[in-house]
Amino acid sequence: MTASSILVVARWLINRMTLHAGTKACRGVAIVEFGVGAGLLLAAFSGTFAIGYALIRYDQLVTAVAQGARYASMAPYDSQTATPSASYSSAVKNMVLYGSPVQGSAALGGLTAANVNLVISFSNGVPASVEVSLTGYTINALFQAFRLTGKPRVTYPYQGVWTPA
Amino acid sequence: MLMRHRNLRAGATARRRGFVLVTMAATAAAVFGVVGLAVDIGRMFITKNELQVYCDAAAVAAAMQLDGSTAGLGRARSAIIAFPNKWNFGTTAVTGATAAFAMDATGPWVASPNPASAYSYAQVTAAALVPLYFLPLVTAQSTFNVTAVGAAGQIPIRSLGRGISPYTAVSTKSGATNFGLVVGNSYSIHWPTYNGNRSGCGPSNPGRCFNSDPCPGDDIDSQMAVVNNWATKYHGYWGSNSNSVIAAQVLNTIQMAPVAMGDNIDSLLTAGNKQSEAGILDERASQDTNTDDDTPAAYLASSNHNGRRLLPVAIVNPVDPDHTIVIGFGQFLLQANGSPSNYYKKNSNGNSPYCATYAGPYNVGSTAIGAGGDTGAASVRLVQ
Repeated sequence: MTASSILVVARWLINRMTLHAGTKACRGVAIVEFGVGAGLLLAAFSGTFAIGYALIRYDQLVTAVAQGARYASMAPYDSQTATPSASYSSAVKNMVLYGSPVQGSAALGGLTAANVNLVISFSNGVPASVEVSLTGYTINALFQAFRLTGKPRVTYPYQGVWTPA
Repeated sequence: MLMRHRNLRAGATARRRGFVLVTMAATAAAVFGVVGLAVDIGRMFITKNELQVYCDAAAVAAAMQLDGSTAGLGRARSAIIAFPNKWNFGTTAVTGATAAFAMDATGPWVASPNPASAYSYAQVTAAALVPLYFLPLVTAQSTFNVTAVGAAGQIPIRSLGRGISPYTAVSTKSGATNFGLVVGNSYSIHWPTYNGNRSGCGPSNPGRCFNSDPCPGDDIDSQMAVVNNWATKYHGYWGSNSNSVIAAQVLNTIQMAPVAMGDNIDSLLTAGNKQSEAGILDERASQDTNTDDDTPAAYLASSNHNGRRLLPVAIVNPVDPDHTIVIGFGQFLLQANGSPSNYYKKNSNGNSPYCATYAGPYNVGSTAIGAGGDTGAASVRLVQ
């Protein structure tokens, strides 16, 4: 649909330039019309790209955060309190960043461990749920930056083996 | 001639007038269509992903609650409704999610199965109406219904590398439901010291062949198997004899070795350290917020229990003096007498057994029991 529209516009411009070659006034009008049309199209396509890119990146982040939360819900939790141990926290964050509990080479979209929040909730003195979210991460979508605060956020019930001692 | 040419030019210009407008309108429609695809369909994909995450997590939460009872189904539905994951860029709560249950990952899925026994899979379906912003310019639709389905179930486990305690319960009935164990009955997880000289000891009364009687739930076949095959050698404890390691085994359920159904654990069985075991069992029981209810039914029905008194144990069959075969797994309720509990320290001596009450199948990570299965142990996993 878009390609055919561009073809129509291009054909029209060529016709105009061919028919009125030699007519200075017409040549000027064609340039102005082309400028206005191209500007509008460029703006529309750029906006579309920016929004589309931001949406795709957000979708990837939802998947990454869900992956981290799922891992956190199954890994042995080795802390007596809601403050997780460094090793548990690191493994969960790596899962979000690299899709693996061990550190990889390239994190998703420039994410860092500082962007990943991990909250363990206790109920009756035992781990009941895990929540993973992102904070302070910015999606740079060409013309606009979207800063994420507390989202995406995914919670899973804790179902791992608790090792409090 | 010149006039005629001018008239022709004027006519052609007039026919071309408005062409830009038409072209721009057509192009604008095309551009809005593309923008609509990018924005509205992009949002649909994100909504689908967010709903899928909700359904997966809620299905896990629901499957964790299934224990083969109607009450378990109710708890599963409540867990789904209460689940906090949101959609619409994490801003809107998911409402109207529905639950269905099955005995197998392939279904059939039933909304309210009755009886609920053996239903160990939960399926969650959620939907959301995504408002459309650009597509209504080229279609007649202003919203789009996005749905997602997630399912999780208690997948039977035949081998455990972490999670079961260093004790065993004895049964000779490997093919029976719950391996012949009865929910609510008390079984020896550490047998009393064997004494073949005790008065009354004999094939018709093997329970008299110990310094103290075994726990009340141990049937005569189990007692015979222990007398004939373990005697003074073993007490049902397996793992380390070191106090610190025993503590890690009981409190953190760290295993000295993986244990699978069909394994001969004869080489793992050890004497243990009965004196320190009592204190460690009491410590584990004291970590529970319910140290009052002594029957599995009352304990599981209480809202303040946290599962720490439920001890996962391997169920074994001592078939001969050199072969003790793992036939399954189960969850046993430790006895307690208040907080902090000193039940095992107070009520045990060197001769007496350590008893625990059979509560049901073991479901890894659950604060309750599982729905069952031929192994007696399961772990909740996503299946759809």
